[in-house]
Amino acid sequence: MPKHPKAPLILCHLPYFAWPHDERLAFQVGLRTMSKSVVTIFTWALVTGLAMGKSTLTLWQAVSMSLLVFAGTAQLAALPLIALGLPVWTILITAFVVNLRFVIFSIGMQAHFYSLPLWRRATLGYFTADFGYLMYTSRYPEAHPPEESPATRRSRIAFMYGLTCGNWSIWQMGSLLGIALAGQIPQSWGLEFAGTLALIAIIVPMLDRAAARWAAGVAALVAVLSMGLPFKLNIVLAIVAAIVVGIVSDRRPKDPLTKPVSAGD
Amino acid sequence: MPALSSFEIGALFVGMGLVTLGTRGFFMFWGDRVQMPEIILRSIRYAPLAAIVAIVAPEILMPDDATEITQFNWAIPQIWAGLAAFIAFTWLRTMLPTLIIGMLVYSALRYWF
Repeated sequence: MPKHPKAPLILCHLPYFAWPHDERLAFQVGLRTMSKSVVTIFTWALVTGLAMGKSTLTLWQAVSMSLLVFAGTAQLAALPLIALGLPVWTILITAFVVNLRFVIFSIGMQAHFYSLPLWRRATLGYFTADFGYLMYTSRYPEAHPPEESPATRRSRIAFMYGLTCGNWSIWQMGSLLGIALAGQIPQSWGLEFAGTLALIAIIVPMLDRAAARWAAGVAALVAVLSMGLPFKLNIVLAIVAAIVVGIVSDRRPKDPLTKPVSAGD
Repeated sequence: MPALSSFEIGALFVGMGLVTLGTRGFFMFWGDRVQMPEIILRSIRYAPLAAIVAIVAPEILMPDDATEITQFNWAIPQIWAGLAAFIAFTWLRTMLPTLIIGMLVYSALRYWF
């Protein structure tokens, strides 16, 4: 496969209002795409915020955790360990293992965004969580579309920026609100289950073809069977199982891969 | 109980932020020095779906404090509330009613079981 020439970059050093029209449009499409899942992300963030607010952390510690870490599952995994007073490095290793799925996602991110300068790859990586990656790859499954012009390539990047900005803002609003409300909402409401239910709305639209249903079924089975593993390693095992399913299903006649899938509308 | 000092907490959160950066950016840092083969890119197609399913599945299928598959039990509210939410979303395709139906079933069954 030929190496693709570096496309001209979007004018990232200019403020948003100085971007070319097409890129601003693509950015807005990204924001709108992400906002279709606002209830899911907000609920999941609220639940994480509530957990931080109810934990041993002070208000400002919880706020700085939300703003600095920006990784919900790692935060939830760290809270009980902080309460136990475990050594910092133990908690950091736990956070790393819980975040291992992002290492797999970053393979896809690299293929799409390798031509950006280092600081933009780093910031884009940091700010791209599950939802952003999911929605981006649903819309642009191919990393190297051969017929793509530099203009559409720039729009694609702007679309990703829109997704990421939407994801970050919705997440932080929900998370900070959760921290603020933690004293008011009693544990007995079982509100943390709402976060789990909200994720169902992200999953259902993705089950639109047989291979995806197989991958999801196998992932669920493996995740439950291996739930006793430490560090939430069951998530990594489930992904590995889904990758195997993906490879096997790849040998079959092609799925209509290019069909854009809207997540959670 | 040994508690972490506020300095340790601060260091921990900066460290966890760096972990977020390091994991999400892992292959991004390579830039154009590597080119991923198409087979790898295709095979990680279902990785994000699998990750979310793996986060959700134990929360729905297993009791709260379960650590092993042997603790599986049909009589937990999450399974039926999850099923209700799944059906509701498949049918309605909107999030808020799905969430409300799921939580209603969950709350009702928590009194029942």
